[in-house]
Amino acid sequence: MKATFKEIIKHLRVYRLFAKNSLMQQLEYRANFIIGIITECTWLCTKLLYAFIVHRTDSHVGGLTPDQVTLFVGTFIILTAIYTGIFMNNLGSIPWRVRQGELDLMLVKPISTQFHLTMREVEYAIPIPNIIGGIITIAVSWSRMGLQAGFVNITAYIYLIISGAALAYSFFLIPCLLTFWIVKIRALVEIVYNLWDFNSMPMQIYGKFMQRLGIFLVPVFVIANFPVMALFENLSPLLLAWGVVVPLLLFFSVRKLFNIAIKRYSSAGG
Amino acid sequence: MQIIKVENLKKHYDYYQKDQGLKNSLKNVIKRKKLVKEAVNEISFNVEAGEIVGFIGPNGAGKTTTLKVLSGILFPTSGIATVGGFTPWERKKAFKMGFSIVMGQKTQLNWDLPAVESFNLNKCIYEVDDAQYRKTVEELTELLEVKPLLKTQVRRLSLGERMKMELIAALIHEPKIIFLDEPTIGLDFVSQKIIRDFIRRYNEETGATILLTSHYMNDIESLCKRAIIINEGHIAFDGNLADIERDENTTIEEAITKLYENKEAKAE
Repeated sequence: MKATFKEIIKHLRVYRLFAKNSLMQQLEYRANFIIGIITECTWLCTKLLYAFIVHRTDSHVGGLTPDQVTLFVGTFIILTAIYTGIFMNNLGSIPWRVRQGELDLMLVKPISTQFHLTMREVEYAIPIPNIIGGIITIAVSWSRMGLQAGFVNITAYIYLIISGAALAYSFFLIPCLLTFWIVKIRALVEIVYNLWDFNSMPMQIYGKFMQRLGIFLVPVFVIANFPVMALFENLSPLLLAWGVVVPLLLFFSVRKLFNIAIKRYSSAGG
Repeated sequence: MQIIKVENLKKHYDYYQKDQGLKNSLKNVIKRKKLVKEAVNEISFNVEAGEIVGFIGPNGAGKTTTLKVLSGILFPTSGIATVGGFTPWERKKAFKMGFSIVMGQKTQLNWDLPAVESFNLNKCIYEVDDAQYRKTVEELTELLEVKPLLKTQVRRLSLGERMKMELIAALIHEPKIIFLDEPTIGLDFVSQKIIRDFIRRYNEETGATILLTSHYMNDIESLCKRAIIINEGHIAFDGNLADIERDENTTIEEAITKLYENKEAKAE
């Protein structure tokens, strides 16, 4: 127990250095950093445009008021900030790290290889506009609604955002791990990555069948829909349980898959 | 004390062949003929603690594969190996804390940042305390003459300077066992000599066991008493360099080339 605790502290320390080194590294290329922020601002505008149109046309998406839809959009923007900041670049670079044999020098380090391979870079330019935009969007729609959410609902909201991020990590890691079996997997990775945008609107815009599919079979809707549903008390106990269990289940399954995958690693370059 | 023991170690890879042309590429989409590359074939050897052993062989002989298996990077097809009392491919933390590998063709340094940032990261990963870390970096940068370069981004360093930084990064945790895979590849002879002298001194002062591969006979001759010559996955010679048979007119390179040929003739 004590040893596990010590290892966790060590990994947190290493993570602090990963984050610091990433920032220093990105600031080395100032122009790229600034262009990254500007590009992301345009993405943010397109997302906000959805909310704007919903307001202008006073559309009620699947029984949600325009303000509720806006709060959903804000939550999705925050989740995008977390996902792009912590996971996206790392997961995206796994296939080439494996193909180029870069994993060699990670396997010999006395820290978790999965942690090293999937957490070593932190992206700053993309999340900055999203965090600011997301918080403003949520705050504005919250106050317009005069939302009186209780402590339990807010806790559930925050918990489900964090577990949604963990779910996204596990879910998007799976296709990357297939690289240990089939080396080049760009086509598959692209398809799976596009599933992220299924969260840009509340799942109520889809039919019942699609909703079930996106909750239970390919749990993408759990990521951004569940936190908001918990906040509006729209989440049945069954779905709440699913929202808590599925990220944990997937996380531990992916951990197992990762260990199987690195046994298959055949290195490269001599 | 034998610190590295290798018994009947074998590593085979599956791969497939592709004949020239688009037609054959299309054919390969439907059906691939699986072939097996015998990278390392039933090799056995032991290394005493504190020894520097040269691992020699032509490209593709199986040297790097052997080092990767001994580092726990690759799983062997069969055979037994223990390094510092551990089975490498179990990848235990205690094993990883006690050894290091440097590959001339690969880098562990962060390209965009000064090398000292990578040293600091290794300090944290290998749980080295502050005083020990400062002492090690101070000593090693002095010995390798790279102290003024600590604040220069790695991408701006020359190949020789970068290699010296790679060595320091690998030695931050004072490993007892060190695998050096072509540490002098592509370096000018001055840098080669500095690195060679450094390796010798490090071995003398710390008693670390070193397994070294190199294509430069100067490296091997000046550092290793003992050499293991490997060709096509088999050991062709294991013993003192001085015992390699040759007459006065033959250089060590020629004598070794002859050993490769003998092995090939035997294999046939």
